[in-house]
Amino acid sequence: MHLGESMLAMGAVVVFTMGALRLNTMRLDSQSRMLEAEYYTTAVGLAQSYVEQAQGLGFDEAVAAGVSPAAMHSGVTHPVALGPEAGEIHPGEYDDLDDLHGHSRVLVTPRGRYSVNLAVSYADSATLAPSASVTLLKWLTVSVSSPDCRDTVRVRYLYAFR
Amino acid sequence: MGALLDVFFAAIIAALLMVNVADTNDDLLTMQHRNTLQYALQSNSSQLQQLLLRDLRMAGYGTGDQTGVIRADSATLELRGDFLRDGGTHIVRYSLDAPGSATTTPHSQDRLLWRSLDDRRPEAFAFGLIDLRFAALDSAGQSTADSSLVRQVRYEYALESTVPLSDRPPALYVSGAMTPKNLR
Repeated sequence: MHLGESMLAMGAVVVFTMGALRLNTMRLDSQSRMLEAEYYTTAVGLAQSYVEQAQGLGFDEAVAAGVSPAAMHSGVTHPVALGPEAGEIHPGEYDDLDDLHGHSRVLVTPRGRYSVNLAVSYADSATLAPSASVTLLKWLTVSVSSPDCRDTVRVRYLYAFR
Repeated sequence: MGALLDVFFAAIIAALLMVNVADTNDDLLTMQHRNTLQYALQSNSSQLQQLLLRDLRMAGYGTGDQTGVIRADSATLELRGDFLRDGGTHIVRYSLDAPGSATTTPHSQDRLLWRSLDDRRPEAFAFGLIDLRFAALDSAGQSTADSSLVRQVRYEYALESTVPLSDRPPALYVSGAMTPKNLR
């Protein structure tokens, strides 16, 4: 075999090896992403459970206190005071949406550890963007993260006073 | 002789390449299958939550002084409310059957979830449920057996794909709570 042919053969082996390594890297990456997708499935399920829970709560403490719809703008919780009211320590005592603000929980399952964080803000009635002033719309944002997931799952739910 | 060796090594390289391509194809097919099962799992979980939470929200509705949550322990849930919105009081019962009871699915541990309304014939649901637990909590978050003190019902469930896939099928674990308005 001439030197030129040997070089060609060596080059082919190198190209083949690199191709095989690249292919295996791709396969491993795909498999890890597939398993990661499973963690996201649980994360979405957890987020959904909080949204379902929120749907059973009132819009604001003022509703429970019997403030008339006409006076809602002035009677609802101030944006800086969102969160559980005094005496509402356990989630079982929460009676309105913004009581969930700041609530966090760590959940350990047989296949992973999840951190759930909840945030509530008012929403601008025109743009639906989070608003620092009182409106009759509230956003609930449920963030679920896990050390096994690269990204945080965020589920948002818009709650309107009705 | 030299040409024969060339052909021999070329054949080995070609075989290795083909094995790699076949493995990759197999992986892609497995991933596609797993993704499909995960979508089905997510859908089952969503249906299960909607079923449970719809009834939980109605617990205590239209029951007057009677308690809305009669029983919520282990795998049994018994609720009282006007579930049919007909002005009457009805009782909904959920119970989880034994592992393997869902014989319509290929999963060997799949358990049937039974839902019955009053004395009507129970309905069976096969979601791929492996475990389902309820707990009745009072306003302080403590477990209680006194139905008049129940303010919240905690639920936890584990779902696995109803179609087996390797020794690690797609699974989902959810834990949540519901505070029915009528129990406050």
